[in-house]
Amino acid sequence: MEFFTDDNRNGIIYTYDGTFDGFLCCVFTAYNTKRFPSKIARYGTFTPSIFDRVSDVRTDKVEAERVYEGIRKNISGKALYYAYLAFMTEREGMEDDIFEFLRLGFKYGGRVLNMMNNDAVLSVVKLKEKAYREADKLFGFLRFEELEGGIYYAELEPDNNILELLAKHFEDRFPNRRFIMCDKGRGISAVYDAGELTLLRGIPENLPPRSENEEEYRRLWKCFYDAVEIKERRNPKLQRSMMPKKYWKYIIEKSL
Amino acid sequence: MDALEKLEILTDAAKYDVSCASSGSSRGGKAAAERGASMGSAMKSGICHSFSGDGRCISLLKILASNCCIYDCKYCVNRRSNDVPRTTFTAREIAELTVNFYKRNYIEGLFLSSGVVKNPDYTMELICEAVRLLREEYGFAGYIHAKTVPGADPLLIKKLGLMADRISVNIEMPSEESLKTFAPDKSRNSILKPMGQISSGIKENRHELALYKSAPKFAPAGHSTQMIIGASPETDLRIIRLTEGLYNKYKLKRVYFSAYIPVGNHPALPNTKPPLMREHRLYQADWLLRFYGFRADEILTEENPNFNELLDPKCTWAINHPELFPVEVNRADYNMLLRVPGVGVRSAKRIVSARRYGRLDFANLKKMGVVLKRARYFLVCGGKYFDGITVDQKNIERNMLADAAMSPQNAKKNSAQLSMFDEQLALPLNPPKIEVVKSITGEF
Repeated sequence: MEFFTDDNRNGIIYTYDGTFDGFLCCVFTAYNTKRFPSKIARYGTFTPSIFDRVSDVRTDKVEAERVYEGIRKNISGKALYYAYLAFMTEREGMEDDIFEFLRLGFKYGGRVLNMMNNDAVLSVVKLKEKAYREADKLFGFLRFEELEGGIYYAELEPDNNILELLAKHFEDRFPNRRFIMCDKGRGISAVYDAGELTLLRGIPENLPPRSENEEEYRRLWKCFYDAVEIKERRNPKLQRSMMPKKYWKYIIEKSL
Repeated sequence: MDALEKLEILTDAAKYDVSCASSGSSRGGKAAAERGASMGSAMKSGICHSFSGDGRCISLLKILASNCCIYDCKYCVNRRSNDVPRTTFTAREIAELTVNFYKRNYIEGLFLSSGVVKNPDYTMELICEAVRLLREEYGFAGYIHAKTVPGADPLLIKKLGLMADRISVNIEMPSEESLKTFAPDKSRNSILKPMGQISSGIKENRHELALYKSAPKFAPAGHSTQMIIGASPETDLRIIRLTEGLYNKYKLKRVYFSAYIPVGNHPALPNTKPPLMREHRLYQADWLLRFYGFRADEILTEENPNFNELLDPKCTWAINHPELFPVEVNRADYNMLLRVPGVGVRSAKRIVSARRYGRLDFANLKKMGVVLKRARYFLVCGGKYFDGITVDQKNIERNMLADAAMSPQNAKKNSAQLSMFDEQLALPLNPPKIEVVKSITGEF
């Protein structure tokens, strides 16, 4: 199975729909046809040269599920987690690193995560850290507002596609309530209602108005935020490095 | 007095307390809900929710139950003799604020301390009642850190520890003499006694939990303390020896240092800017104690009992021990790698696991996150220094000082709470769809 080459012109290029499932189907196709791609790219992000052979991979839930389980069983749950998070960075070329990471994983098992002197492995580890770092920040920086009818609503624009990961965190934290989280940049929403989390394309319109107490608690929070600062230690540079300005838009104490 | 004013006063009065970490407890929200909680969870590594203008992390709603105080500690803004507006929250007000902030994801939980109203027991009862309301009536399973009041009844401490994630008592001053001078109403004993009780309470409880999984948890996130530095004359060596002793004897999770901000009125108190660089160096040394296997007496000596303003303690140590360097990356054991300036816990672990699959060179090290700017003087790969530089022991210090002067220390990692890295142990999240992988230990 080692016959694939780094040379793009002779290799085959897989294109897919940009979803994680779609990517897993590329992995499925590669192993199923025993033809490893020289590149994997989402539709439209890649202009093939006349020498390239491009194959469009169709996303199939069942195939994706098989690869998903295959990674978990034959490599490790941790490797799957790394692949998933690295994928969510949506960085150009990450598919190729993740594919190589998985190829090594199927060969060496869970040990692949220790092979830090391999560029693809290191790249996946670093991408995973990048995505996790942002998720870790947004676990804290995300702000809900209370709407009438007890719905909690939050907006965000993360660099990485981590809405699902964030929604899982809040699902666990607030299992008894209803919330909507919107990734404004990607135009997708996570809706949690009656114990069920759903990801949807689109941003809700016609939301109910804010609840009666909402403004009061915003004021109180702003008051706390201002009072807790030690003026003698003022250090806006440190503040910005810990809480980058790009997040301020949705952090109410900074945007009010 | 309206709610806004009250909150402002009791926040302002609480802000000098350093600790804000929400780490150390791990509690799944759904599991808590099954036991009857209405909301809340706790993440092992803690979560920062905001950063104030001073760059410190805001994780918890940090307030005093009351800023009325019968004591007259000279360094404290809430001392009896200070002329400031006084007020007291009711337990219900505290609970309402906490829950409503938490619901909106402003905070990770509550950090409740208090001035001493009437007497220690009365104050502790107020704190206990607020925490009880939150846990029992509001079904709040978020993080709670509560202060115990020196001199309070041990039963109250026990009661509080069974409800809060972390309880703590401040050691306040780095020595008994300073405590006598500046906090005449408190004694060393009144502080160490509850600290000892908490420590042994935790130890017994862990034993119980090992036997009976359902035993109630006592301070599951451990305990911490803090001391004010720069208000009294102790050397850095004395402070880190005390710190080391506290970690060893009382098994504290954290010892916090707080650069003294001139709010006091005693003639012996300095009236200068807070010593932020010194605080930063102390935190660096604290990390060397906790994560790098250093002893206090290695970091500083009687001859040099204070930190170098320009070089961090690890570099200083390495420069003073030329006999141990250079270190061969491909062979040195983990503990020795940890001692190399520019190598952190993360990169040391990466080196150890990666070199099993092949020899490492400097390009590998760089990718793994080793800071070659510092490490290059102390590391060799396959017997060779970085870039073929020749390292003359005498020149290392000069070069490093020059480097330090070129890049003025931005206080990035210091004054901050460090909660970003605070006790990070487990990755509590799973990729969606993965059900069981409970603690993926990708982070250390």
